Amino acid sequence: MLEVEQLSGGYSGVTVLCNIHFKAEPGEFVGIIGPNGSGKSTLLKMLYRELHPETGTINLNGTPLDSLTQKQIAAQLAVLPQQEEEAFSYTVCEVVELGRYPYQKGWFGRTSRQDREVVEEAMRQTYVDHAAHRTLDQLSGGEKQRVYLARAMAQEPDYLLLDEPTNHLDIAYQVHLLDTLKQWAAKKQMTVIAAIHDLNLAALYSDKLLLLNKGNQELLDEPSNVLKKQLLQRVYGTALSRVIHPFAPRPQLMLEPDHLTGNIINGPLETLQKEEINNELYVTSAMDWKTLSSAGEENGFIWARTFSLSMENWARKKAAFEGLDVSSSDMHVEEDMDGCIKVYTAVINKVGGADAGWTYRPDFVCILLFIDSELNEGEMAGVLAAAAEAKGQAAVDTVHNREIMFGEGPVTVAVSGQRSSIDTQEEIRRRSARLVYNRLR
Amino acid sequence: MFSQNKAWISMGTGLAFAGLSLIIGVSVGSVFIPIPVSLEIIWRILFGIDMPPSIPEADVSIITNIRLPRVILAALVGASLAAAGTAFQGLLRNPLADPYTLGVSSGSALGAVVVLYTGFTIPLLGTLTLPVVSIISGFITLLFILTFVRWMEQQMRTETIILAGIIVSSFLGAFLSLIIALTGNELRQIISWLMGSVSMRGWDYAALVVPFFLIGILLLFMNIRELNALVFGEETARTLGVSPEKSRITVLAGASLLTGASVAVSGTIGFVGLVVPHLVRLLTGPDHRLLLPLSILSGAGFLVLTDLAARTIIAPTELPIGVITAATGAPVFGFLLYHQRRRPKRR
Repeated sequence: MLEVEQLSGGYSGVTVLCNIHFKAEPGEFVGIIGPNGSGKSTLLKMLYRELHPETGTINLNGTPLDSLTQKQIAAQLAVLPQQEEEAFSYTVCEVVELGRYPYQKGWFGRTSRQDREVVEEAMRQTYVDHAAHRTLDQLSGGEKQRVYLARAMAQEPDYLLLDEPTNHLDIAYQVHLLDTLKQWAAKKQMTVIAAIHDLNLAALYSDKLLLLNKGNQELLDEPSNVLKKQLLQRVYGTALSRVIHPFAPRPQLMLEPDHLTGNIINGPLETLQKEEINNELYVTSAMDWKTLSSAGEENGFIWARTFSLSMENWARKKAAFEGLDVSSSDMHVEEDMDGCIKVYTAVINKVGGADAGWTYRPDFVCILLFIDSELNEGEMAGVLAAAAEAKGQAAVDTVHNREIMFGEGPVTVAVSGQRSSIDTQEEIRRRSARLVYNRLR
Repeated sequence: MFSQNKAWISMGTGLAFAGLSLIIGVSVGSVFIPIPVSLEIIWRILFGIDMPPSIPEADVSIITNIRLPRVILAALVGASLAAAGTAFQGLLRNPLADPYTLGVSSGSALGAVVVLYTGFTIPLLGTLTLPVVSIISGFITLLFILTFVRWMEQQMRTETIILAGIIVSSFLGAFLSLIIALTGNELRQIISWLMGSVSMRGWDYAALVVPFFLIGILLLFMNIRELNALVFGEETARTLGVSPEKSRITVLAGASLLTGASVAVSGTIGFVGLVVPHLVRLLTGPDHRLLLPLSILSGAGFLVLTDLAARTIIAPTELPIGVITAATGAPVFGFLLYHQRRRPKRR
């Protein structure tokens, strides 16, 4: 177990880090995050004793770091540095073998058979064994990184420290490297401590995150508690939003670039217009709307400029199957009183069923609800539910021979993302529902 | 983990090269002594066996009194300079470093030139005054540089040591130039000493170098794996378990001892310390476990052969040995460099 208590220190008299304290258990992956200059590298340097702390203690398995020799430390703790200097063309094998240095005794320290086996195993695990006798300058950046990782693994460490390990690596290498580390951490009960710039990677791989801010320990907790929108916006001083990972129970953070998020269009509802493309009816807009549709596209949420209003062909096929006819659709637009919500509806009537006592029956309703406001995903889902309820209520209230209608048809909610005059989501939901109900009734 | 075969072949070749050079160096000269004869003479000297009457007395005398001490001195100086060059290049992570980078040689040279200029001799030392003064002044220079750096910063980073070395070396160089400018009769002697030579030194000089050679080489061998780690930077070396401060000082001390002693007995022979390690590295790779011993063997052989050339090419006039080292070393170096750089790099 690695224990850090009340650690402070820095470079030649200038204190960079203040009062850091944390523990890392065997097998745990601790990510260190924080803005540039927050002290991530300084903390790592103190952990591998490149820097001596001014105050505080670091314990490796209960032993203070200060009471260990450099060799004893290296036999427990390995480092994958951010950037390696290389002057001569060593072969991969020679580089990896340097990892055995802490285990070689005596002045000349012969390489034992066991050393050789560990080196070979480390090269296999990092997939550089095929290049064992090639020199470093013949390798790509990603391969070199793996060679240095193999060297660190040849130290058979209990602790592995990494400084920006994914810098200069393409996404496949990033994922591969971190997956590998994660596996080893679990299998060998190795503690991994990594300074990571990429918050999303940090969120995906860390068991715990240590957030540093100007040399102080801001927070140490699991990723979902550390990667909070307000906290990160304060620490990093930039706007961002938190979203969920579609498949993994971890938060992800989205940046908000000015040129995409800062545009304000006056009266976005005004830009909407009906348009016929290939005999199908669409509503189009000059801007992108954040859209949630029960038609179930992508993850539910998409950005869209065109919205299909008719599913007439689909309705006709279905009606034909039931031996009925379909009347032309009945299209309407309606706006609420202060012009913040606009609803488009298309109703498709079934024709026939005289024996059942009706000739026209509104059967299929397509609802497009445009809201000039700022809603988050949950609020949009709330509006969608309210609109669907209103649709159901309208159906019940117009029941013909007690048959339920409006059984089919998507409800789509699109929001402009701009702050509007109505700002409570309660109000938006109520008005949207009323608008839909009024329209259909 | 270089392959063991490669290591044995390389070491065998190195030993054979050094041994052959020694034997040729002893046999060839103004009087040619057949190789089997000179082998027998050496063998008999080594084991203290009396010479049979079949071997001419003159040959025995030439070998024991003139050629053998000269060849052995050349071998020791060549080995020292090559070892020091290897160490400096590894420590500084710079293939262009040489034994004279640190400025210890300037100290040794200044001591020697002062002795030549003033012509004084220390009682009891006699002709050994020059090398002894030279070694002492080289050692004082080293201590001064290290104290100066220590006084500047606790860490003693390599870059700072080098800069301090350059400062001291330029300062001493000024005095060297001053003495050369002031000198009259001894000018030729001083210049030829500065260009370097191993001629007419005798056993005393060889014996004087031996302890420094042994200590220096031992210090370097003690840090042979540390040198490999230090090539990747001091921070990385530390994470691998090396104490950079300790290793750096030991290597610097070892290399400086070798350089200072060499300069003291033979002047500043250029090129050996720069090119021999580089050539060997091109052939064997940069792993110091192989590079250092092979550089020592090759340096020894190389300097014996160049000295042979220096004294035979336009005999009886001797050429300065530095001229030969540069004139033969540079083209070979260029050829090997051309081959290495032209080799297509796989990606």
